[in-house]
Amino acid sequence: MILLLACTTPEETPAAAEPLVALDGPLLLRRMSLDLRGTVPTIDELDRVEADPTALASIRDDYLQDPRLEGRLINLFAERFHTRLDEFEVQYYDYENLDITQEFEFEQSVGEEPLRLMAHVAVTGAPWSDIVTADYTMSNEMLASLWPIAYPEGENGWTEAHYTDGRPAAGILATNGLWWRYVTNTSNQNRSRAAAISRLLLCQDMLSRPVSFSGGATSLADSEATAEAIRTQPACIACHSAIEPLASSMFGFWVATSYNPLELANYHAEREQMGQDLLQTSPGYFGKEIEGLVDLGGAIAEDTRFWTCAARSAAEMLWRRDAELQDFETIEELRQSFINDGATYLPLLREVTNTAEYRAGSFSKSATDADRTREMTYRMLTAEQLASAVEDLTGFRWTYENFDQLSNDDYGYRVLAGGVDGYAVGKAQSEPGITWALVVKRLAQAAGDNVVATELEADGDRRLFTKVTLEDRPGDDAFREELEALHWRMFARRPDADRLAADEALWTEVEAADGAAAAWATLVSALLRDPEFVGY
Amino acid sequence: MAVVAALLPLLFGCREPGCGAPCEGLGDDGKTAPPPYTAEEPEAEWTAEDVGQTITEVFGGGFPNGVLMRDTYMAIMAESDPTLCPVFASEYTGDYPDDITEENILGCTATSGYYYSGVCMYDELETTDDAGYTLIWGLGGDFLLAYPDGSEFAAGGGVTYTGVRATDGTETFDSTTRGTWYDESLQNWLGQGFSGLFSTTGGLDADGHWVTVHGGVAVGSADLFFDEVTWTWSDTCDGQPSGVINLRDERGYWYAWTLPDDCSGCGNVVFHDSDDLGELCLDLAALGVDIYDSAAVP
Repeated sequence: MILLLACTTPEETPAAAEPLVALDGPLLLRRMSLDLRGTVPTIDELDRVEADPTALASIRDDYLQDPRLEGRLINLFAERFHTRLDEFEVQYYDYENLDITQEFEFEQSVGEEPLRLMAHVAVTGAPWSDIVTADYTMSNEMLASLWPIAYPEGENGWTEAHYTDGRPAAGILATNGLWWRYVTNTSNQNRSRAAAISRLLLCQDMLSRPVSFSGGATSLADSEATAEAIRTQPACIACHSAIEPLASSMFGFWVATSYNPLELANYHAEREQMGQDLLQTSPGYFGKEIEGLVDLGGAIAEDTRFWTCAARSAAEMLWRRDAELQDFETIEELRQSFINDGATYLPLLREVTNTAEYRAGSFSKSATDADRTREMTYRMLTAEQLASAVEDLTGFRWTYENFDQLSNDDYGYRVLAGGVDGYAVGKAQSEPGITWALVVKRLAQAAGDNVVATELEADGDRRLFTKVTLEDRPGDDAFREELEALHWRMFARRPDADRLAADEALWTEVEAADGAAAAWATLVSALLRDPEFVGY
Repeated sequence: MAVVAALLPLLFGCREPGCGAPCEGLGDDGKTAPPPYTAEEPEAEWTAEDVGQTITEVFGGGFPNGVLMRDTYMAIMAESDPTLCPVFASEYTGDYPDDITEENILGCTATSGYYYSGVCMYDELETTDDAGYTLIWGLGGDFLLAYPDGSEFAAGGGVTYTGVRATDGTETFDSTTRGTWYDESLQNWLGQGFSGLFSTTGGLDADGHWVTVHGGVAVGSADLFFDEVTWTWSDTCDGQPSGVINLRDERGYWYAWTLPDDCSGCGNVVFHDSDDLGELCLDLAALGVDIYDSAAVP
């Protein structure tokens, strides 16, 4: 009944007062900038929106053309696809041309291959179907030196490149990076990969399906009985009738031995038909016959669920929450506009930023408890957003032995900072915690020290401090203007007199003990740890 | 919450074709936007003759077999410095001189100039008793070896073999070959590089002898899948195979050459499970002999 009502009569539901109150212009601009560029807005952008709130749309559209958007999309996709691991079955030391100083780059490169392909499709305005049908991948020089990839002459960095091992044109479905993350084994036989395809690209999580095992349960330790049950027991067939044919299409990525770079780096086209032997099932896509991976991407792109899932995923990424039943109409509208706008990704992102759920900054009186539980009016910066926003403001990037400390957990603090490691932690932290606070504190301290040392003590190029020198003191115009500018830039909010007085008091106390440089470093550190900075 | 999660996919899937009348017409324009993508039906790029020519050319340098892989491995291991390079784990010292253990993951160079790295194990069991003669051996690993001139012999995978010659003269053998192998010093299929996962079974009895290949075989850039391809030498057949030999084009589409059980060497080639390209006849008897000889009980 619920389904029927939801499908047939949404327009008959009585209109309720809007439960969500949108952020004001500058704060909404800050949210857009952090989501689409990973940085806070410039003073000039904030001033423009403050003076004319209608300027917001055009600045947002500029953000959608900003080169930093690609990096943000990579991070956003990483949260869903979980490919950015710290360790794969093949590691840097399995390659004789890599040494320990390249470990981080190796792990990042492998995990980002499919993410970069999706981000590339998005920012170049190619049809979104390319993510499952493209005949190229994205590669940097390192991957091209390790894998069978023809890297174009004259290029450098990440660029379009082609595998040379005969794998079919299937976008991310033909990338090593995706299948090094979603591995399989002799008993699983690609089923986990099929489930990943369904979950990531169709938003159909096989594990969420209600299954009853009442009567005739089979021990998974009995492989023959399990194989028989998968083909005959209704409770098993419910999922496996879809899983097995999908899994059967993935045997080009089947390896004879794990941990071997030759086996894992290469696509094994001659094994594509092995699913018939091992799964007793031909390749298929939800009832449609396909020849294998060569047809799989096209079958997915022809599926309405793929497009709905893209719209839903984009909404969830920017709303910073999972979609729920109440979101059905909005997501359907997003899907419609997505397709009507040429099935390219940037217009979809633009539409998501227009939704009330995205713009929500507080609740109206009409908001229900369910609204208050569901909607995210305040979002915590992710580990990657923290890193990029702090670097943009202070020039400080936290690294150790070539590892980006907010992008790994080998030596770094990605998970402690609320991030996703792709394996043990699959969802970004949405509320502050103790370890998160400790990481932010250390980051803020180091960034504060760095920016004071480079801008005020060494008199280098200014990116944060635009008014003061170390000679300025509270009461000086430059001092007060600097404080106001810092607040405006970092929080998108004009400070009131009490806040300015508190900041001056902090500065004065530290300056008395350790001097002006330490006072400014402490103040910047405090601002970077402020809830108004670490949230948006 | 779990119920909500279970219902979500159902709701978001309402717009699929076949969902039924209640789900139609929910878009702003009263219509459901169809997926903006239509897959194109592929067309064959090769003729049946092209398929035949490729099969002939691919196996001109012989058919992949585990014996050559093993012999190559053993020949290189014979150039090692026993117990020094490759180093054997202490508990194995002297007992398994054909193995490369984990202590050699980072590699070593012997006084002969040969280089050893990785992990590999070889084992062999040969018995003769009242039932007859049995030979079992297996080679498996993940290694990179190099000749003094720098050319490499590398693999990830393995080979297993079991051969039995009964006292009544009948023979059976069963071998599996799997993984990725190459030897840059050779000019044959192993020199081109091999990838595959296939079994070779066969035997000899009063009616004649036979060999069956089943699985995937890639040599160089050619990818094939042998589906129960059986060569038989008997009073009624002189070694032309039956079964299905599948050949893949560079786009990823398959051509299936089905050889009926009439020992004619002829059969139709079908592209993409649907497009009949006509008959192809090849004489593959010599290939069958090559496969049989490499796997027969020594």
